[in-house]
Amino acid sequence: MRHPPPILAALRMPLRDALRGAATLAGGAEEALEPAAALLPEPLRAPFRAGLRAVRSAGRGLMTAPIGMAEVAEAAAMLEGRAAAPETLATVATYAWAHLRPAGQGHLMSETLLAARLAALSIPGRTPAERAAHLVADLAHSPAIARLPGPRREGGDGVEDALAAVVVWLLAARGGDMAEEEALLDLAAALVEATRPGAPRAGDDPAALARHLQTLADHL
Amino acid sequence: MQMPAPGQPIRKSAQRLRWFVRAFEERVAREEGETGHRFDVDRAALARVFATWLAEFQAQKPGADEEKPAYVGFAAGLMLRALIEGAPARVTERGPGGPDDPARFWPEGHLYVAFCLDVRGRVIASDFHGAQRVAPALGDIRTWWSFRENVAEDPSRAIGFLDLFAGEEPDWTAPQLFRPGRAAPALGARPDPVHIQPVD
Repeated sequence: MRHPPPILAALRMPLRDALRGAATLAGGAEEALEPAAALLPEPLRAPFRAGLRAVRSAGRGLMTAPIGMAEVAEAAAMLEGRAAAPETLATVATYAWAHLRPAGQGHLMSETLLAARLAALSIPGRTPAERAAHLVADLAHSPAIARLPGPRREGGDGVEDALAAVVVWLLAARGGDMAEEEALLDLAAALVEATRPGAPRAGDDPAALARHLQTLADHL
Repeated sequence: MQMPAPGQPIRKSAQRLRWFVRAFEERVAREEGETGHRFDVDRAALARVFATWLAEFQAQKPGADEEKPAYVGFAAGLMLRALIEGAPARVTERGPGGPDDPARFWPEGHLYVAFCLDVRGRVIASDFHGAQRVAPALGDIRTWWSFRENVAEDPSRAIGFLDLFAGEEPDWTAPQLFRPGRAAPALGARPDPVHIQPVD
């Protein structure tokens, strides 16, 4: 389990969002401006790229630190209906989002807006999987996930799949430490991607989506 | 990576991706040690293999308890077919080995066969208290020539070849279909999981 330096643990959600935004925009900017960078005179080209990378790496380092096994367990407990911890679930989901979708890849999840949404949302459902299915459907189109400027990628935006991977990971049996949890999160994403053809989507029957998510969690 | 539920039968654990990936990566490490090859494994492709195998495994899974031992061998064959089709491993560096060494002839195929026999042997040993046999065909390069050529034409023939390597009678007419009454694995006296050795 990694212990963040005290200053990182004390960062409030809006500040982490700002850092996350700076890192994401810097990553996207580097990609989007790559053709233009090639036109710059050589003496300017390297400092331009170095500046964007410095912003991106600094933001990345600060935005993903403060969670451990206790936070993951608490977020899972909220999905199971055993705890009311919208801020923790938002922190864990944002951490997972950043892990699955490195900065510069199309969408930004706001921890602040997500926590507010989760606090206001009464998640319906009798089972953890039903609540998970409801969350995926609700959050896929919520303002907590913002699409960044830039060219659209082929094969859809992947927002629903990334959300599904996060809830499948939280529904599954816990790992032994954070390194294992991150590996399980990667496997959850791979399993969601592997079973995507013919799988229920967020706009489909919620019960079918819930069954699908629970099946994936059972086999993770 | 921890097992999902200590004490759970291996045939149940094998239906979890975390167990499958860990077992495969352990087999890769052993294969590298035994052959001198080096492999690159694509975890996303491995997850696709697992998902494909699981769907096929569940589609034909028998309900009757007396059919379960026989289904172990068939399920291992389905796994081999999914691995050959999904190709999650790629040899990046070849170790030494003579022209008659199956591991030299087809490194990835040899890895997949060794993994499937590993899993098959572990399930037989832990869940059915037996020991897996291996046939001389496993080290016969001419069988491997035939194996590689046949599965290139029809990957389902991998199911029959795994039976052959495990000393069972293959069903070549419809190897992809589990037939009730199929013979359960003949259990030999070999106590350890299978370790395939390169042919000298």
